[in-house]
Formats: sequence, structure tokens, C-alpha cells
Amino acid sequence: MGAEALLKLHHLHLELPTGTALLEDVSLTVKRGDALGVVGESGSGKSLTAMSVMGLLPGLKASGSIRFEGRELLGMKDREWRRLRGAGMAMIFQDPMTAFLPVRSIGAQIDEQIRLHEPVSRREARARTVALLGRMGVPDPEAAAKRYPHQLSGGLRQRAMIAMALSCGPALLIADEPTTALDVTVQAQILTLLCEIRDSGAGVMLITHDMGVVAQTCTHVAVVYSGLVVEQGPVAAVMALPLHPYTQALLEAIPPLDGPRPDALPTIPGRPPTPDARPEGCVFAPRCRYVRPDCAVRPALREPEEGRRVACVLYNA
Amino acid sequence: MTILLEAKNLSKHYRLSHGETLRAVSNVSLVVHRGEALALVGESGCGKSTLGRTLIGLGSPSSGDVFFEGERISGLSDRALRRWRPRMQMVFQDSSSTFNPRRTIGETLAEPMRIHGRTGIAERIATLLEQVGLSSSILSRYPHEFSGGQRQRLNIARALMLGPDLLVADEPTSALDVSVQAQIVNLLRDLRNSLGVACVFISHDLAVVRQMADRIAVMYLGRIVEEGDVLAVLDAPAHPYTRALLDAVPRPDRPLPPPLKGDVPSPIHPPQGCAFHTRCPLAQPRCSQERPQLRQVGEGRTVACHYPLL
Amino acid sequence: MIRSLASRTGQMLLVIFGISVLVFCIFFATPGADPTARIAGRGASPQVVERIRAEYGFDRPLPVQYVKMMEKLFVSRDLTSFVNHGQRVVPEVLQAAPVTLSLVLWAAFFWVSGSLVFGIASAVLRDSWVDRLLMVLGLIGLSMPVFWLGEVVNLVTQSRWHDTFLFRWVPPLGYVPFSQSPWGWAKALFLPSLTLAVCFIGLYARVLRSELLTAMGEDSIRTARAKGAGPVRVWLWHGLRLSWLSYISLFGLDFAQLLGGGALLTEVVFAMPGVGRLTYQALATLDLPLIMATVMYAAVFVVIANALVDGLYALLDPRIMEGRHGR
Repeated sequence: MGAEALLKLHHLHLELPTGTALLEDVSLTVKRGDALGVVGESGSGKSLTAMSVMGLLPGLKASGSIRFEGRELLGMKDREWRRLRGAGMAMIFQDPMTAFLPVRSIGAQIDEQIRLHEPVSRREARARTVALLGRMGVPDPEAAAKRYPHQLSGGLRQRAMIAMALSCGPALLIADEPTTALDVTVQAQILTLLCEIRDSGAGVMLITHDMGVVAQTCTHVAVVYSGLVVEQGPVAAVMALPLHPYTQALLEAIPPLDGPRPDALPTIPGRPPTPDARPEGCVFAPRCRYVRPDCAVRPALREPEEGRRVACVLYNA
Repeated sequence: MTILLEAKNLSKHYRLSHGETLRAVSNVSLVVHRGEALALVGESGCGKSTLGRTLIGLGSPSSGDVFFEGERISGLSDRALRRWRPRMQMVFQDSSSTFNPRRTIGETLAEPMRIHGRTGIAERIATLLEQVGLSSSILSRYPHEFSGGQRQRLNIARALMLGPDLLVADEPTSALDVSVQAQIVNLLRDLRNSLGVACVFISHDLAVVRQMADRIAVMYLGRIVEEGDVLAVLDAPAHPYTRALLDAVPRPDRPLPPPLKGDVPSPIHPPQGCAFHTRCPLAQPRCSQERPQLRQVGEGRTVACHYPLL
Repeated sequence: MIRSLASRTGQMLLVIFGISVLVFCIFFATPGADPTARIAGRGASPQVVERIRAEYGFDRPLPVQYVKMMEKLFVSRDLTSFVNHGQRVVPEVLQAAPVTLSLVLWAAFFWVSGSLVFGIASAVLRDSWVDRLLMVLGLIGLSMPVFWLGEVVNLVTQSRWHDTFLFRWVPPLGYVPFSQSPWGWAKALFLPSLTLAVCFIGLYARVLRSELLTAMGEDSIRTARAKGAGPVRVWLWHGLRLSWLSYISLFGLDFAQLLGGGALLTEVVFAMPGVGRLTYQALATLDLPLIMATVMYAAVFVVIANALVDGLYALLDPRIMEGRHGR
């Protein structure tokens, strides 16, 4: 606590031109040295949240507030936002194969980012690229910089991607499903790397569908369902005692790796509502096992315990 | 238990353009008993998918044989294989690309039975849809109208149309969200219990495999490194690679363990000796010289390691 | 590298051989037609016919005839037109080649620059009125037959308004060699090549637009934006880099077929003594040796250009070099 908030989303609202709300009332905070995991299933709006921080959602109407290092981002000119992107905040993506331009070498693409933001020569940029790649654990970084994305393994590609994201020393690193396309043993390497970045003082926002990944790399978690934050809090507390029925169900649906094998895994009946058919009341009510009459009114995000928030009528008392 | 499918010393090599050889599967022997679920587990490039396809005659092996109910089915012509096709079916990972987007679900489901000249198609479809938990009213709809989970149910129904004895499912749940994945895992388990169909699950997800399979075969660079009862293997792995795989699974209930070093080596130039020695935390000099053979460790368990953890 | 180059050359030779056999068979081995009489032309004396029969070996088996023909075409290069009073055919083609090359180079310059401007503009301003206007213009260009357009251009610039200040500079129809007067060369080629380029501008702008828009949806473009690259850089550097592969392969094919005589109509309309016009004349007079020569010339060009495009492709996209087996 006490640390100044690096990124603060306040009642962020994102709409299609048709008026359909994709995100409603999303409020999140990332502090320096913290890692916030944003968890949700596909279509929950977790990636949209990340993209709206980067200002990469042309055509969508955003309202509310996104403050980064005390500056309001919404309503900022694209030119100014562009100066932040890649320098103040950087992003890594799910599939490093497609996220890199396939026809240019890894090194050239990292050099590009450095030279976009800082007036350095080609030679200096390359020296920094090589140093960065080495720091990210890429063996023989000088040779690796000359290779094309398809010539590297998935793990090395993602390391190169992270090197590119960190090339201008961003205060905030946004990682959108950074390990989903990777093998488990490589995933563990990349997650370790993310933890080191977090420990070095940067703020990390990790978008994922995997509760396990959040538990192992993040300090805080926000659970997103159908464009709304339904629960947030410190990771250890949420994992130990999830408050929202959706968080509970998500955790239960993961098959156990030890102990007795259940005959059937607990599942969540039905499926998430589409943004244009979102229920008036609690968005999770149609699938919730504790549903009751007062769920017909959308519950606000409350703070039943210090540092934890949940949007559920069960905790209204 | 009777043996349904048996592979003996199966290898599948691909000749590449520069005179190199990609050894996707090397010298694999395994059996699938009637009604049993065997999981093939490993990281990308370990040959699990190639092995799965070769087992049911999608692509002939470079060497070795596959027997189905004691009869050799490897090396048969497509024509000769036709007789066996209805008995072995495949479920793929990406349910959206296995359906022709311009044909209704009904047409797609009826197709395998039409091809094999079966009758009673409508009744069969109705039974199967009920079994996979979908209503018959969807038959005139098109694939894009379904969610990923529903499409995977349809995919399973399609594979079951001809009443196969063996189902090979390649990553059947990896494209799905956790809550939907749990539904499909339950469904496959129920179907196996009620229909008695044997399954080969190809997966990288140990938690899913533990839930679905009876036996597990862990593969690394085209070879099986450990095999045995799924609960026994995952509770106490004998091979360091299995241990590492298990540790690397991110779980809500434990911290991030120190990861394995490096990447999986290329199957074009696999390391000498034990293929895993380049990444193994317990490697000894002997491991880089001599390839360990699969040997028995305990009841129904084999491992290919000089210094097993058991 | 050397191996792939050698195999590439072998492939090219094989294709050229195949084409030559095919062309030879069409013209000389058609049953029921005596090639001797056709080479000699109408009303040739029996002595001439006899000489031709012996010279081309038409009294001997087909493979011998083929070899003789190829020898005359490529080795001794003394294939002679009888229709045209003993004109040697191969030098004639070689003389026409620079004309066609000049015309096509100019046209390529126009259509590449035109389509780049149009294509990028309409992709950037997609769905606006500019985009729609450009695409309609492109469609009009695409659907105007080049011979008609050429005649209209001639009508306007050569006769109707030739004396107005707008078109006073337009030289009379025909070609001026570069060696004679570079300025005259440029003037003589300007309108013909522009006419030829019109339909290509439309086509290429459309291709580029759709490729660019597809590329803009790629993950790597999102990465470029996330890096902080501005719109100009994103479109022109990252976007073009991703989308010009199919543009280039299309360009290679069109360029080659134009060089090989595909600019026939333009050359005829503007009285350019190029390979196209030569082919046209040969066809009009049924000058068999000349047809044979121009068709083979065209084939060689198309094949070479194809190989060049493949090479360029590999340079632009490193994935192709490695036989695409990288993950």
C-alpha cells in the first residue's frame, strides 16, 4: 500500500458505435511492482480492457477514466498516446509468431521500437537490442537478433517479444495471454521472467484465462465476466477463499492434479451472455447456483473485507 | 481385458528437402485395450499427434506395424483400410474447421453413415445428439451458429456415428474455456462408460488427462519415456521429464517452481543418448552416451531412464 | 543455395522445352496440313517448295524436324521467312525486342506508381467517397479495351486537338530509339505506355487495397501500433511489407507476358514496331517461321520473369527460402 497508482481505470465504459456496451464500469488499479491478473473466459472483455489502456481500439467509444502516471489518457491526442505506447507502457501478445512481422529479423523489429522513441543511431539501437535479448535469456543474442521469427522456437520468440516490450524501459507491461501458445515447460520459463520484471519495479497487467497462471505470477487479481469486474483482491486471498460464485465455479472447474479423482467435474451450466443480451440484474445470475430474487438488481462492487471487492448480493449485508 | 489396438516398434520419419530426416515417432510400442482410455502426453513436436494418426491409419508408418483386433492394418491401401475406418474415428482440436461451413449439421452428421451405406440414419442421429446433450432441433442449423463447446459436442457425435470401437481425440478440449472444458471432459467420460468405446487422448494438459484417462504414455522427442496407470504415474512420476511436466502446470494451489532449462531440441537433430539429458536436472555422464531402454518399474509401469525417480 | 539455383534452371529449361515441343506440334505436326506449303506461302513455285522440304527435313520423321527447327531458331539463327522475301526471322525479333521493352518498362512505371497511390489511398480512406470513387475509376480503367482507348487517344492527340497547346508536343505515331534521341524516345512512348498502363492501374490498385486491408488485420500490425509507430509508418512500412508479395507475383506474370508480346494491341494501335506488332503481322500473313520465333521468344521471357519473381519472393519473405518447414 501507499505506493502511487501507476495505472488507474475508473468506471471505464466501452461501447460499440451501435451502443452495445462491451465493458461496463471497469475499475482497476496497477501499482509499481504489482502484477494484476485479469482473468476471464473468452469474450469476457479482458483483452478489450488491455487494448483500451493502450489506446488501440479505434472505432469504440470509451468513457470513464484511464489515468496513467497521473495523466488522463482518454481524450488524449493520438500523437501523444503514441509517444506513450512502447515507451511508457508496452504490450506483449499471445502468439509471438504472428505478433512479429514475419518478413523482418527480430533484431530489426526491436531496433525499430527503440529508434521510434529515442534518438539513437542504428548501431546503438542494435547494441541495446542484443543486450536486452541476452538479459531475457536468449542464448547467443547477437545471432538471434539476425534471425527471422519463424527461425526461433516459440519460447525464444516470446522472450524476444518481451525484450522488445521492455526496450524503452516501460513503467507498465501489459501481457495478453503471453503463454497460451507455449508448451508448459516453456510457459513456466516465461512466467518466471514476468515475475522478475515485476520484481524489478515495473507494473504488470497480465490478461489470462488460466487461474493457475494468475496464482503463480500475480499479486492481485480481477475476475471479469461479461464485460464487468465481478471480484478483485490480493491473489492469495482470492485463491484461498473466492467470494463470487463465478470465481468459485471457475476454480472448481479445473481438474485436480492430486487426491481423489471426481466422477464428474463441477461445471457452470449455460454460457456467458453476449454483450447485447446482458441481463439487467447480476450478469452471472442466470448461471449462478445461489441465485435469488434480489439478483434482479445489478449488485455494486462492494468491499466486504479490506482490499477485496466483490459484486454479489451474498455480501450485501 | 482384450487387446483392441497394438502398435509394434512404430516409427514415422519425414524426409525433408535438404536430405534431413525428421523423426516424428521412433520405435514406439503400445497397446490399447478394449474400452480403455490411453493418454498420449507431451509438448509440441514430441510426436503425439503423428502417433495418434498413424495408429488409425491416417498416414502409413515408416517402419513397424499396427494391429487392430490382431489383424495388421498398417501398410494397407486406402481401399483395404476402408473396411476398418468405421471402427476407428478421430476428434480434432479445432471444431470449427472440421465442419464444412456451408452444410447443415444434419448433413454433416449423416455423411459418414451415407458413405458406408448404413440405414436408419435419422434414428442414429437422434440417439447420438441426446447422448452428447444437444436437442434434435439443431439439425438444420449451420456450424457458425454454435459455440465452441457445442461444436465440440457435435464433433464427438460425428465421430461416434458409425459406432466405433476406438476414438482418437487430438487435444479435444484445448481450444475451450475452463468451464466448457469441464463439460466436455465429463461428456467424454460418460460416453466412454456408457458406450464402452476405447479412447486415445492426445493432450498436453496433465490435469485433463488425469481426469479422462486410465493409462498415460508420456512422450519426448518421438519416444515414449514413461507409461503406466495415470494416477500412479502422476502421483509419483518415475521419469524426470514427467516430473518436470507436472511441476510446470500452473496451479492455483502452489507457487511457481523453478522451470526446466532450454527448449525441446529439434526432432531433426535429436541429442545422443537420452534425448532429455540436455534439459534434465538429474543428468549424469552416462545419460549423454547411452539411450535408456523402457523397463519395468512396478506394476504395469515402464520408464526409459537410467536413474528413475522410483 | 547453388543446388536450388541449379534445380530452378533445370526446371526453366524443361518448361521451355515443353513449350517448344507444344508449339512445334501445333504448327508443324497438325495432321492434314502440309507445313511446307504453309512456310512457302501462297503461290510459291514448286522449286521453292522442294527446297524448303529439304531444308526443314519435312520428308523425315517428326523428331528430326523438331531438332532442325530448334537448330534454325537458336543455333544457326537463320530461320527465314518466305512470305516476307527471305527476311531472317530471328534478327527481326531481336530488333523488335527493345521497342517492346521500352514500352513495357514505361507502362510498368506508370501502373506501379499509379496503383500504389490509388491502392494506398483507397485502403487508408476505406469506405469513404474517395475510396469508392477510386475503385469505380479503377473498374472503368479495367474494363476499357486497350485498342479502343488507344484509338481514342490517337483521335484526340493526333488529329482532333493535335494543334492545341495541350497536344502540340505529341510526336507522330511510331517509335524513336533511345540512342537516336532520349527525349524523343520518352515523348514517343509516353501516351502508348500510359494507355497500356490504364487497365493495370485499376487491377493493381484493387489487389493492393484488399491485400493492405487484410494485412491491417494482422497481429503484427497491432504490434507495430503498440510499439508506438505512427499511421504513416504502420501503413507504408509494416502494411506494405506484408501485402506486396501477391502484388509482386502478379506483377511478374503481367510484366513477362507483356514483354512476350502481350502488348500486341497497343503496339498495333500506336504503330510501335515491337514484338507484339511482329506477331500480329506474322499472324495476318500466316508467316509460320515468324510465328514460331515470336511464340518461343515470348515463352522464354515468361519463364525467365517467373524465375526472377520467385527469386525476389524468396528475398522478400525469408520463410520461403527454408521450404516452409519451420514451425
